[in-house]
Amino acid sequence: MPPTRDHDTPDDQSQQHDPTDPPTVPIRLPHRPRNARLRDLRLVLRHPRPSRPASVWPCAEDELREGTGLIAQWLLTAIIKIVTGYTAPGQRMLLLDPAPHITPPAGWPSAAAGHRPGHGPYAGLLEAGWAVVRLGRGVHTQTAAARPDWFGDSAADASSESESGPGLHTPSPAGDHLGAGGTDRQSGPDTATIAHGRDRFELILTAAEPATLAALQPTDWAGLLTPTGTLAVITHSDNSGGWFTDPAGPLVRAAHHAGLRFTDRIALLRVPIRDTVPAVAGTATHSRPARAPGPPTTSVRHTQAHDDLFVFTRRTAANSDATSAVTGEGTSDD
Amino acid sequence: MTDRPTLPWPPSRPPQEQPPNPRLSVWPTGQRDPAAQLRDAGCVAGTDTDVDRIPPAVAAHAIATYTRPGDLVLDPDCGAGTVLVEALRAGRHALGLTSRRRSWTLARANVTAAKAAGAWRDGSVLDARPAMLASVRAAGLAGRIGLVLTALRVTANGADEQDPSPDRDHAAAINRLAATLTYCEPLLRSGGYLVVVARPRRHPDGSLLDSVTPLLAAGTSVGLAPVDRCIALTAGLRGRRLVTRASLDERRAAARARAVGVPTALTAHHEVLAFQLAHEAELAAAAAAAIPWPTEHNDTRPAVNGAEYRGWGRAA
Repeated sequence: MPPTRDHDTPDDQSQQHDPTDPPTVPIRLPHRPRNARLRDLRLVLRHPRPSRPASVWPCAEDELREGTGLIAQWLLTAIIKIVTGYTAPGQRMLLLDPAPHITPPAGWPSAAAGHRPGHGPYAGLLEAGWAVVRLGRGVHTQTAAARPDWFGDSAADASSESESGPGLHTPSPAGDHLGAGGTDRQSGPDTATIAHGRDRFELILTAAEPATLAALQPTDWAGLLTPTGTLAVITHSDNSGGWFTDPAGPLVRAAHHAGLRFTDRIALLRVPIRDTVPAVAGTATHSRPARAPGPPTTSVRHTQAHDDLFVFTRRTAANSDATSAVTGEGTSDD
Repeated sequence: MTDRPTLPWPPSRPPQEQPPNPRLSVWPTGQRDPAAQLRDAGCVAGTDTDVDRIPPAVAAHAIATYTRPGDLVLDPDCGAGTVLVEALRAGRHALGLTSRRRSWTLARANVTAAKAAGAWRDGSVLDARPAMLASVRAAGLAGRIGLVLTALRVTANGADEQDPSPDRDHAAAINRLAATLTYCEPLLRSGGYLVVVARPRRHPDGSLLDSVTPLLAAGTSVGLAPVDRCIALTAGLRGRRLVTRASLDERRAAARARAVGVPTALTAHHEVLAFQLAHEAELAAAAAAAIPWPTEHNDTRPAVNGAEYRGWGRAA
């Protein structure tokens, strides 16, 4: 117990112990034998608990932690989960960012079509390259334009690439221009330029608005995947015009044409969902236009609290045979 | 004469089954495991044999979101009748159809149990196919249904029954559901909704079946407008963690798929697709764009369900 002192006494005097105070006795913490701790550690390292990915991933943080980057916190969390779930340390991945000037084709709602640098829910996608490097994966960033048949020759000017690995270059959301490597101008995927004589990518990851996705055609990049590679596409449904449009149909169809197999559709929660009341305060990282509340039971619309992650894998005969042999039974969660 | 003690009706619901405000596209409907949900709803034994049933928490959430007390809820392929039970518990009228003998018995028993527990709204189960809705027997239902809530049923109910059409094929099940939607569309009242709940399923080779796209096409082909897609969780939320309730078979299949280099996700949700009459969806969208509804800073913020407030009116 600290001694009571005069208020005029300076604070630094309070640190002195009275000689009549009992000596401080350290509190012994529960101690585990060192051998037991080492045994547990060896067991964990030898038999790591396999992650069990579910079809819903909570990606939002409880508290808003704004950083200096453009990328939303939930998107960075989702990318880290994707990278750790579908790649192993040492493997290479490709971060594919749509070119800033990609405009959607006619017919898409203008509110959902805007994709400007620094705006939109997926702004700063290439900043995730830092996190990927820290996870021990090699990362190759690419700013991709649309296919030439969408917008003509002018779209080809924005395609640039950069290579980053552990301790290598810095991915930049603005340009990806490298001082040493230079910039290759191309339109769409160029297998010879990117993967010439090198390993292909275990994971290709992109995130785009549904309208931009229709122009980007990420499934055209499937040729850069390894035989066990994964294509992950983050996008979302759109009901801004009062009608609901879902990106799954054209995306899955294009993937089948590209020889990919539709493996999963995962909901990425970008809002912390509580047991009872959703914690929506302080998580307005999504810059979509907010919908005005409508009359009850006349036009019930839900606020989008999730994005969709589409996962495709290369369709190889070995994989199909092996998987069909082990997943013959139906799935059930009841 | 002593008055009989009366239970408060409708009974208070667990807070997780209340529709949130604002409504989010992710429904926290998996806080209780399936057996506990059936127990809470007062369902009779054997209801769990209906593997394609809509979980009671999902049905309760949809009914609370899309209907008002006194509305009529229809399940054209009701199975064991979980939708009917939740509709009755929420103070809505309920009507179910099923052509399976065992399902009719279970659904009838569940309706009886709900009414014995205090539900006073009408609840009926008909031994009929959805095609009956297009006959003269259902002429009185035209324009009266507030919510059609049904599930995409792929597997047959029970192994001992003689199911005349065991739809084990996913595409055939969607075609059958599309026909059902055709019968249900004329029955919707103005402002009514049609909600389809589908569980994600996999092809025998492990790939995921895209159920959303054909269901949207089926609804659009019968003159309905898709207005929402929601995620009804079947996994429990524990803070930031999600506790999946996948079966042992599914866990084994996922582990083996991961072993061969094709990781697959355990099912933790049901897909919920909401449709509305096309012209009403257009009118509602136009009304929402033109009429400045009160914002959250105004004093006249609407209640969750069934509340009257300034400016309320049907777009149709």
